[in-house]
Amino acid sequence: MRELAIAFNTFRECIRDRILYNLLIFAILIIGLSGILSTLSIGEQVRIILNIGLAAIEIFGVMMAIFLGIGLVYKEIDRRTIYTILSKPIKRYQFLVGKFSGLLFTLLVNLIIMTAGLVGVVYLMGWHVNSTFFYCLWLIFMEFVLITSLALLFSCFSTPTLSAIFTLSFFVIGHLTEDIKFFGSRSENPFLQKASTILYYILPNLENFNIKALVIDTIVRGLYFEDVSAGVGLKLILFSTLYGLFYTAIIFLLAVIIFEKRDFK
Amino acid sequence: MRVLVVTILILIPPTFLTFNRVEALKTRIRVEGRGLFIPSSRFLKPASLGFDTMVADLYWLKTVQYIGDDFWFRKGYPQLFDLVNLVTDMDPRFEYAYEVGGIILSVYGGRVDESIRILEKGYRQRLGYWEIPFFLGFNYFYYLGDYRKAALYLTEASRLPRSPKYLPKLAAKLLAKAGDPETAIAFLTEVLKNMDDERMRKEIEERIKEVMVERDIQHLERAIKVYRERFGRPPEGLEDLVSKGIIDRIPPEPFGGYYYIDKETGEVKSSVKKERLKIYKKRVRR
Repeated sequence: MRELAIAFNTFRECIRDRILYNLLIFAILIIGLSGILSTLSIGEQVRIILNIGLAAIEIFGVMMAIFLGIGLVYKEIDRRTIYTILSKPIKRYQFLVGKFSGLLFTLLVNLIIMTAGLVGVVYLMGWHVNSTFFYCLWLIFMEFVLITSLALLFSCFSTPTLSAIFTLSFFVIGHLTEDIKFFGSRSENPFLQKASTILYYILPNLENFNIKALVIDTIVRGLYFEDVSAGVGLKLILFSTLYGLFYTAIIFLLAVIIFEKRDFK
Repeated sequence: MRVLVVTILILIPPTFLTFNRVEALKTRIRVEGRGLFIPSSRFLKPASLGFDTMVADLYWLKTVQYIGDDFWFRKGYPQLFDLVNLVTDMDPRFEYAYEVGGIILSVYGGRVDESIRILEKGYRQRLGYWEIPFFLGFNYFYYLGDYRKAALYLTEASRLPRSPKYLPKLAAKLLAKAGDPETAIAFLTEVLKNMDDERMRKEIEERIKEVMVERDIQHLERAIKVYRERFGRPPEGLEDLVSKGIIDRIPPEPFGGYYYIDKETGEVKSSVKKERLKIYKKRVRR
């Protein structure tokens, strides 16, 4: 219950944040622009709308997760409101659970708004999307979850600026881990080979949540995700989700450990 | 606190397991085969935010891996041109990329037109490296049989700093005695001098031997003509040419075989290289 109160408060705090609206407006603008851009193309209009739209949703969602997430804990410490909260009968981990779920709920709401915008543009252009579309959004949301946990982790011990840089770096590198592995495997230096393999497994592989190309192709061809690669598609969603949840859990627990160790006296 | 640490430790194995599972599933879905994705430089240039030379290096590393991949070697490097083109778009002063790309495309890939396109792109940059016009000249001479253009590029190369002293002589030779295998051998020997890579050297050495076979065959056929004019009939074997004093000796076959007269056609042939080298004709794959 107490977590819920914190979560609700976090949600209220987040939706009052100006940065959220900046990002949301830009996201909607770009999604709208995708409709206009697509008219310049010969054929494949829906592909262009979906490509741009899903990219905008992912990028702006990640930016929301980062820029709201980095202040989650730090702001409370900075404004000293944390003392009043922690003096109440609430465990520290409950506080973090509340913060985390509050932000995730904010992100979910924004994801729904952006998705509604994208679906609207698609319909305006005389096309329609099928259920396949939502599998893609689901994995995009899993990426938000993971990024939020990272932002929360950094927010527990670092300033917002540094946290933003760290989290953004993780976002970038998370999409490049396969290149790290590739170059490492081609190196003749055994140390480099080992190091790149270890990095490949330790860093979050955000490409695991990226099925945009596959999904868009499926939609454009009028197929359903269930038809893709004889059931492999659904398994992929399942295991990617599990991977995201396990990884997020580890990061979240690390955040709890750090937060528990902090001295607020 | 201990509970948290233990929980994290418990969570690590399933994270790896699901990770591996996702990896396996992704490779099952991927259908694009073994081809590389090579972005367009028109996109990559702005996207690299001014770090274009660094991105060029990154793609150069990928190019080197691509060249080293035996699979693509056997396929004749279908994407090498695009890779080198991207690298040199991102960093137009990347001389080594032009040079290596150009040589490998023609010598290994058999993609002479692409090789020339890359080398000419580098040549237009006026970077001042003599190697680029030199290999351009080589392509025009060896693969396309365009001696005039080849000589032109060699002359250009000879004007650039640190170029070898023999270049003007070679260019003159090209113009004067273009069809002469000796000219080709001289050119190839100079190419060989500029190769460090062992595999490349072997490839060029092979070519030199092929031209030597051609030279010997031309030599022997001239001797046969003389024989026929003198005795009114073709010789029984090549030994007749020596015993009748037309030539001093039968030249040794560079691949370790021997030369003989084909009884059916009357042509001189090598026991190793059955096909006569069409050195002055196009040798282009595809």
